[in-house]
Amino acid sequence: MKNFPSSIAVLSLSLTFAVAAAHAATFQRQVSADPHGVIDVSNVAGSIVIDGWDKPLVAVTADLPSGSARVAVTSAHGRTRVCVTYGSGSCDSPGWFHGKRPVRLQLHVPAGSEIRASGVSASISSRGIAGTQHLHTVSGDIDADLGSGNDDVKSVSGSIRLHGSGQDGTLLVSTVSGDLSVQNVAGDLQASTVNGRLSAAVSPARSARLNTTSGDIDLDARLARGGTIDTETVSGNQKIDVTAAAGYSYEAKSFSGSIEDCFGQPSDRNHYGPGSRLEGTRGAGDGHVRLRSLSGDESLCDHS
Amino acid sequence: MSDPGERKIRRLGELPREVAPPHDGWPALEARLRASGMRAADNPPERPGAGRRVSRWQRQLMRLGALAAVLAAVVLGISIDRWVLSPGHPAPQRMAAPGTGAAGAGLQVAYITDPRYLREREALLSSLNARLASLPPPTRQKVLQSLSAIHQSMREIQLALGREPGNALLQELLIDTYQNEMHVLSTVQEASYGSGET
Repeated sequence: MKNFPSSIAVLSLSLTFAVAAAHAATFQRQVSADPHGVIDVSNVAGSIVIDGWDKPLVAVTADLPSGSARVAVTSAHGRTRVCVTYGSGSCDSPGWFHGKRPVRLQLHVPAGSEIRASGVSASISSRGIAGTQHLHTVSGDIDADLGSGNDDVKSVSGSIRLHGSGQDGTLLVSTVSGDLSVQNVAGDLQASTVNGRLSAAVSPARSARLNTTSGDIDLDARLARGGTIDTETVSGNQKIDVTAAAGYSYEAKSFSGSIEDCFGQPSDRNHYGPGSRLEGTRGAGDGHVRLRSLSGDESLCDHS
Repeated sequence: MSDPGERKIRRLGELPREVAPPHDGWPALEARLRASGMRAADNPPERPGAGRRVSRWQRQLMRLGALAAVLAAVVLGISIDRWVLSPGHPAPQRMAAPGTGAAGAGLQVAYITDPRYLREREALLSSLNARLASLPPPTRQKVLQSLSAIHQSMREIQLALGREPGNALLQELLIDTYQNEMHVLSTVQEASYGSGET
């Protein structure tokens, strides 16, 4: 009799799990889709996982935790729309994230699709997509392999990790407070985070503009002919490594931070007040590299 | 047709040196003056100098009036130039950044003078709390930390600019930091729409 209360508790817990399991459902649906169409997917809470395949089909699988969450799938005129809604909400107005139980949404889509994914408290990941990707979320992380080279990726508080295909294009990526990592991209890159760490590898870089407020920047770039690199922090440190076959001119300035390079050239102190600057030319000076900071330390190297 | 009796004058030297008046008018004028002097003697004169004092006071008043008119014209001209002809350059404003203390919150935005930008910034700042409330709590916390980092940076740059007002690097960093703030505020606004708060 001593264990009676514990037995009751265990029994109640088991019943709760059993009821929850009975209510949880797996949603599965498959629709035909244009191999180069648009996939529009949204989820309020949980995750969005996208995989590219070589079939003209969109297959959706979702783990629905309760009866209030629904998945809507429509496909018409080259556009497939997948969204999670709650109660009487619609794809355009899914309702507040407050109190929403997370839904794991998994899609298999034609590899050549253009992806438009948006989440609130949802992470986004994508693999095997050759088309353009627009990935936006509020508090989730984003982890994606990029294919086309023309993409935009945005998070508010999540971290972003992107791996490009090396194809020339334009990548716009920003997060407010998360870390940001961009590897193996080419062409134009614009990346910013306020207080996260920003690391990027661009080859070849036509233009790269990296900006943080207090986060550090770590850039490894091979400059295209006539290319430009522009990095800026307020208090973050910068470690910039740039190579260029046709050389580049460089200009580094910091108001109160230190500046060093691997060229054996000491930085000059300003004659008219505090601050340091370093200017010079590598090779034929075809490209241009510019570093700026208020109090961050700057390091410029050329490990060609 | 000219009068044949009149001689034509071709040069100044041909003008007569003296021309006698047709009659002597002085006796009639003298008699008229004498008559008016007798009428004045019949009426007792006012206090001597009183009329002159009134006219001097009036002159002072007119001078003051003229000075006031000139000053008013100058003020009006400056006002027209500042507010009508050059609306893109309003007076430096002090704006309170969110999440900072009242005393240290005033950020002088003398380098940011675009009125449209200032209006949009003001609107975004005033609706920030409502927007943040619609975001997930961890995100809200992180955004506030990021905004705090931006405002701290603004203050540091402003301090440095106080020492070196003409420093182009500092001016550029300040403007870029304001742009970063605007980017964060816009992102929060977009995110709050996306999270269902419309």
